[in-house]
Amino acid sequence: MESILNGIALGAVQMLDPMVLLLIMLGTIFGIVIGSLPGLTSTMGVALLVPITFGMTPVQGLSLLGAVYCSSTYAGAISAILINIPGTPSNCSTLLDGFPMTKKGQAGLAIALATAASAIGGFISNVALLFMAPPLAELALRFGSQEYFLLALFGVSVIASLSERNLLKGFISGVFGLFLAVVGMHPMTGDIRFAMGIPELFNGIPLVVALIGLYSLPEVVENISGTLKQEAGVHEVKGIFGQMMEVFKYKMLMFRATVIGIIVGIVPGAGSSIAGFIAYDDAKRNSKTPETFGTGNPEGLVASETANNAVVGGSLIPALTLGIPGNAVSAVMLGGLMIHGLKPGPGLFTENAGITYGFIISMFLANLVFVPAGLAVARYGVSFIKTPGTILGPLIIALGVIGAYALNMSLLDVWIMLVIGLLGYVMKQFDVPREPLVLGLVLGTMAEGELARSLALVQNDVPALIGSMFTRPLSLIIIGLTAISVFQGLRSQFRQKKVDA
Amino acid sequence: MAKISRTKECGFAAAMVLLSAAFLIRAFMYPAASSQFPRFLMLLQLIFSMVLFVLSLRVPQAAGTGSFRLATLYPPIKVFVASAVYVLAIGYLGYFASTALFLCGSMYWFGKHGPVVLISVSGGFILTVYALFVLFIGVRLPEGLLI
Repeated sequence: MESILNGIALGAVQMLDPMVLLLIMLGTIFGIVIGSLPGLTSTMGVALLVPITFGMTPVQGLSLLGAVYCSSTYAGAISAILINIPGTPSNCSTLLDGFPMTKKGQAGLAIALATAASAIGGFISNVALLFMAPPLAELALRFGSQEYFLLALFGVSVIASLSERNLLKGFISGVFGLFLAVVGMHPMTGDIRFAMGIPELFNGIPLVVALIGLYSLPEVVENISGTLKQEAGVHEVKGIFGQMMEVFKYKMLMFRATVIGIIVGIVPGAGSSIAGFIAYDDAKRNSKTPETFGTGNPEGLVASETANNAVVGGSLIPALTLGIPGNAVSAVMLGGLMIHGLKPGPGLFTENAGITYGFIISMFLANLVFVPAGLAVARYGVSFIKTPGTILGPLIIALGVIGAYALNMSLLDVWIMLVIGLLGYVMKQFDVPREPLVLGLVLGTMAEGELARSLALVQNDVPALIGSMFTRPLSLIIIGLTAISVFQGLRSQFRQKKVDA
Repeated sequence: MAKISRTKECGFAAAMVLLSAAFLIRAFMYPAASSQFPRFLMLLQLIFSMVLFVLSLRVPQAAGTGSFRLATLYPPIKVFVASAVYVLAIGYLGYFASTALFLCGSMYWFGKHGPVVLISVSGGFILTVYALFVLFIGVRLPEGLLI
């Protein structure tokens, strides 16, 4: 503990450099712009700035990158709430209640809550990074391929809770999402499946492209046809700062979501979108009004945003202590660390304590700075949705097109976005929930890859694999959580049916 | 959540049965080691779709909105046709020219706005994209006959 406190003192001294503070502010603004634009991801934002940090001191460079990471993860919520397109994949679950809140005339409140929840989630996960990094990193190392596969199954079990009134259609949607995720190269054999000979599909369907299509085009159709009704006087943005305080109504919810976010964050490869969905599901299960989820319940929004921002600190735990990045962004951050001559590992916290702790403290500051900056952006963003549907619709399509194109600079991605948009529209018309499909897309690659690796480890002996799942304690815990999740989901479905009857 | 008619529900379930059967057959055309997971998924999908089909037969005929109006198809056709033409045009005319044409054309088609609105909104969008994506991020946007 003493060494940690000494490190914090050393890091705090680094923060006295005005250049560091300026870079945190600039990084935050850049991150908000990147995060709120569909198609531009946190990874892209951080990667773009890595070369710029060459000429900076390590603390200056890392503070800039950290600020972009924190703020871009949050800012994806702005477009998710206002136009129903998640700015980054992390915010998939934010739109489930965020956009319905906008439709109900609570866009200001939704953004205020998302901002506060993001800041709190990010802040607490940084505390975990500061004080609990080594023991938590050890936990991450215990995850083998079968635990990853089970984790993916646990994620899939959330479908039951996302499917509201029609469980069967929810499963159909979820399985279809899992199927879309396996399009392309097999993770072990390298065989190409279902790609129809299109080289761009060999690496699979890009998640961001699919998200843009699935959520933007159906809403544009509603906008144009006038079926997307918004209540009068809805875009109240006054007192948005004061509305942030409402987040403290959900203290326990935020605590649970933060824990989920940190744990998912430290598990390499799991990703913040999974954390968002798991936290959303947890919030729904523990809510007094679960039936209002998906119709603009602030609890769903708060849970999702707290968890996905808690992933930021969590993902850096294995990155800094073991050199194993928790996700793609932390992998790029790790690159940034290395170009400044820092070697990840336990030594980072002793030999380069000033720089490492300085970097972590800068992330605390970034979590504070993005609050006013995000609210300022959101204030104008709320004005954006006042625009008539016949103007907003074409703008959303154009934004979707540039977002889908910019990801891989491929026009084919734009066509994929349009096809998936059509699929989203058809799903909406047939009352099929789109959220399970997104969940399937997020988890499919991981599920298939880890299953193939697990099977390879036991020479394709399925009974042996199942047997080992029931003998490893960590696997058993995940199986238990999955069983509880499925049971609770089914129970609430039956309850709902009884109420309907 | 809107109720949908039996015909619509049956149609959807039947389409899903056919789609999952087709994908299942396709999955069996790949080597077993590479297609176990998709085979399992499509088998599951086939079962779910068949159950949905059977259940949809029990939906009362009178339930839901029932009548179909052709006019309800106009907005989606407008949106998807305009978008497809736009993406097609990008390859020939270049990003900026086709975006300007798409924005002006679709805003006029969807809402009959005046020239000031059309030009200012399109111009503002294109300038923002140019500043952010081209100048700042360095994205190479498609070039064509025009710009």
